[in-house]
Amino acid sequence: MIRSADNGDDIRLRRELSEMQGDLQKATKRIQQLEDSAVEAASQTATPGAGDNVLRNGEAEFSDDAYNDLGLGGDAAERIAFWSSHLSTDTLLAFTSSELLKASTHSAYAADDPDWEKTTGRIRLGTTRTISQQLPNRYAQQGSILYFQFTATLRTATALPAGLKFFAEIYDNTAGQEKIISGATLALTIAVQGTPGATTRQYRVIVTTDKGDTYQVDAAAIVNAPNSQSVVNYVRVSWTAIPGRVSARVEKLQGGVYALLTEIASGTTEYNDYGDAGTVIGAFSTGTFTAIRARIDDSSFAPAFGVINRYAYAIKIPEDYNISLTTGDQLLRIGLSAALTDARQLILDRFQLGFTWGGFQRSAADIAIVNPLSLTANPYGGLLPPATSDPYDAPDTGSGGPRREYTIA
Amino acid sequence: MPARRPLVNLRPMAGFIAALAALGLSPEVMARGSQCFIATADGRMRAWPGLGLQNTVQGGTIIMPASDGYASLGSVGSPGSGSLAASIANSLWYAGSGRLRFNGATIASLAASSTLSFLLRSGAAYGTTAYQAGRVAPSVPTLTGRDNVGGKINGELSMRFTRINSTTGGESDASEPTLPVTIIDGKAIASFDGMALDSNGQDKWGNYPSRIGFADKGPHYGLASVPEIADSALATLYGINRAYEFNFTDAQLDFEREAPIDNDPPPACTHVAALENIVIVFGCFGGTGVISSKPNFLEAFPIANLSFLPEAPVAVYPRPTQGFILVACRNSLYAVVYTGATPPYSLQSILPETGIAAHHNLCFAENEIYLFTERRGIGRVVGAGEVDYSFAQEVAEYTSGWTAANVVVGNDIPSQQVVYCHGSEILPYNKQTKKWGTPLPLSALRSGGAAAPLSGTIKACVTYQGKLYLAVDNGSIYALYRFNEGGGGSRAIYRSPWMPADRASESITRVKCAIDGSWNRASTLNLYRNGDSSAVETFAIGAQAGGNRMRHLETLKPGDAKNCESYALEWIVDSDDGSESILSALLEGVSSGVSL
Repeated sequence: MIRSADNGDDIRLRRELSEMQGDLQKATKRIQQLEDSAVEAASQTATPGAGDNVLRNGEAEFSDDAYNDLGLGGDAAERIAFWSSHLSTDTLLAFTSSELLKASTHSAYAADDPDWEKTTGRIRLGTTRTISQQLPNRYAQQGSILYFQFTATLRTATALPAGLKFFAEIYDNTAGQEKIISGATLALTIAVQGTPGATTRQYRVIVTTDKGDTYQVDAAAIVNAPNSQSVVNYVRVSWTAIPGRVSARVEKLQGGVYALLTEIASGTTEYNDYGDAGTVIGAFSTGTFTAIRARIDDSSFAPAFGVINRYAYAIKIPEDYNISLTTGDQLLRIGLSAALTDARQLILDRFQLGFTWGGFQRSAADIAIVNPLSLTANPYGGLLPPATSDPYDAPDTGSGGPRREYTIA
Repeated sequence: MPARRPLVNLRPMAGFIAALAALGLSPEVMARGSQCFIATADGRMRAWPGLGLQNTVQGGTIIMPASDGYASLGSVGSPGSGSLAASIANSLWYAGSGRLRFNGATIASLAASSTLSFLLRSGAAYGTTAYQAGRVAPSVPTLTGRDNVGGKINGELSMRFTRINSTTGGESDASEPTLPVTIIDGKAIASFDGMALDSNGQDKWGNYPSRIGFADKGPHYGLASVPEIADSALATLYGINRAYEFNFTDAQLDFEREAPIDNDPPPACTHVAALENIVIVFGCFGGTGVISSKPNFLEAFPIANLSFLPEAPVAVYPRPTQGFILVACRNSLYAVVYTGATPPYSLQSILPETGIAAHHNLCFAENEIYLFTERRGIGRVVGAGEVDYSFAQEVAEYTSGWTAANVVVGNDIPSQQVVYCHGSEILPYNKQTKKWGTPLPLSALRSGGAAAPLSGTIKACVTYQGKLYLAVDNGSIYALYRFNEGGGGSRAIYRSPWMPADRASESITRVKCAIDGSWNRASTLNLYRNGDSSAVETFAIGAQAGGNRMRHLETLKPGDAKNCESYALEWIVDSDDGSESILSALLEGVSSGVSL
């Protein structure tokens, strides 16, 4: 039935070709490893390179008055530059001097949480209020990855609440659409295979990730589902591959009856409805999110008292984020999912946000403030201290007063 | 008075011919109107012994050999579709729709879907845990460094992680790399806090560190000393929840094992088959896609293993003993053979313009394929690109009205019968003697000496341990029956062709019959003349004693079969053992010279 002679030669040749390709790949790999060894030897003695940083006042060391050279004194010198606080429920965020974090010496300071620890140049947080900074115009582009890092420690040894999460998001502060920067609304793709019919059907998929997030993916009802379904005539339902997914519930509505068709645990992002009745349910399930967002939630955030740890995250801007609709500011917005027991218990410092990963360095704007061109203002008496981005050099003396030396644990 | 002479010797050994032609057929055939005779290996036409009901087991609309038994999909009211296949360690893979059964028994409430799934074997039975093939990369765990603790790690590194089901060996793609961590004389701690295992049997995490200095370049390699981490081994370390501590040098990396990036789960599919050490799914990506797993990694389906058929498959038939998979489409047939290359299979056309309408339209009989095509009916594949329809010319007219999608084709090895079933009747073909048997209607079955018609429709069949099992939809289940096994026999009817008179007309005066078999039940012999539908004369022949043997019956002396311009004989016997055979029926008579 199958011409064995011809097929045997064809199969043998394919196998030989495949083996040769495998040998070539191994040889290429070995050559690359030998080349890499030299790079590795060099890299073991090298200090890590610095990443870029777009955040102003990343060290939380400058007052609004000093950084912006307001010359006002008074409360202007007792509020931090560029870091603002809002309620977690606020959506359209205002950025006036009122929102800037205050030091305890500010005239309007009233047990503020969060606040600015002026003497040490750090930000303190203990509530669910968020901390934000405006970013340069259209900084977060679709598909880009922003690396965000900071140091954190605790002011007291009181235990943190169970289930505490830290979040960081890139926020769209455009009036009318103020929200976390998101991709397009997730939508199902519905395709009738084989011979269409006249049956009306609607589908919903709830995708759950390994972080416990649920995404709801919908589509409008179709009116041409096959009347008599089979593996030849069926409806194909597909959806976006959501990172970290561990299950997808596929549900349908037909003839007023809601049914669970399947729960996919393999990560496959499509399902063929061959006409199975499914398990009747009362209604469609609901998911929390309908789009992928530029936000990270860290449920393993656990800074400790007496130890300063560095935390770093990669925030991905969705590929299908429509930046043309963002006419307002983009922001970095951070916060906690729950209030801490002790006020202002969480201490944050050394903020960095940029496109490249690396060690901490001040933003260019900060460096210009730290190393002003005016010689008369130079505390070194006319000699400019060398500009440095080496995180292991002692920090320069700035207008925020002496800073505590600390060890990165 | 003219002398009596032989008129015709009816010796129905040549099989069944269903031609509607009234005259001109050989006296050696059984003509239309005959039923319940099958062509046997000894060259005879013997009464059909009937069907043997298999109690306690059920079939489905799709029944296929699988592992050391047979598996099926579908139930009455919820027809099945798709296919099943056995692979490594007798695992049972399935895709399609309908309730799953193995050897006629359900396995929990499992049913097939477009998500490729499989069961693991435990002893003689299958477990009830259905695994879905494949899993996807996890979110990125957190990597933290512990400096100056006398560890082996010096420099910057990152890690990638995978999900692993250690029971099946399935491993996902690797996660995105962790952010780089610079460690001095220390150790690395990975935390999976806030990350759940998948619900597909995952119990371990694979780990793949980069070499020092290649944190943001990769590649990431397996760690020989710790190839995977059990989720149960995660603990709170130094205040970090669900953590594991790593301590290694680059010398301990397994450079032959890189973090996988092509362990994709299979796409939604309509059929599955297994071949050597791969699993192949069909009907994906819009219906015509074919994609295989990696060799020996049955849950990983890299896109490099994708190819396409010209049309969507209707059925898939694994033939592991012959080293190929047959894929049948509506208009073409293909063979899938193993190559071990990339992809590790090859699609080869067998019939470029002939296909089938349904899974049960085809069966294998040794090196031949017997099928029922929509355009030309009964045929068989005798070589690549060659379909023989000629062997079915005797019954072509009989089956011309059949609905292709409802034809069930099966092979019974002991009796050498290939059967074509439609509705509630069977048309058998002896491929050894190359003769067709008469139709076998389920309504003609008997039991305990009485009529026991079986109501129902033949929906599917399977050859298991060489024997043919038919699945009959009786309205509540797909009952399974073994073909050609003694139940209670059947009402066998031999109808001779119409034989033309040699002269103007003839009168039949003697009927001398030789028979073989038990004939232990009474039978009825009818004579017909001139195309009449009513018998001109009827003889009641008593039950024979003495067991299975050849006999010459007492000569029958018709008195009314006169002036026959044409004549035919009909013999009805309610066989209970399938032994009855008619060796000859010699009709003698005289010319009457009178034309009516």
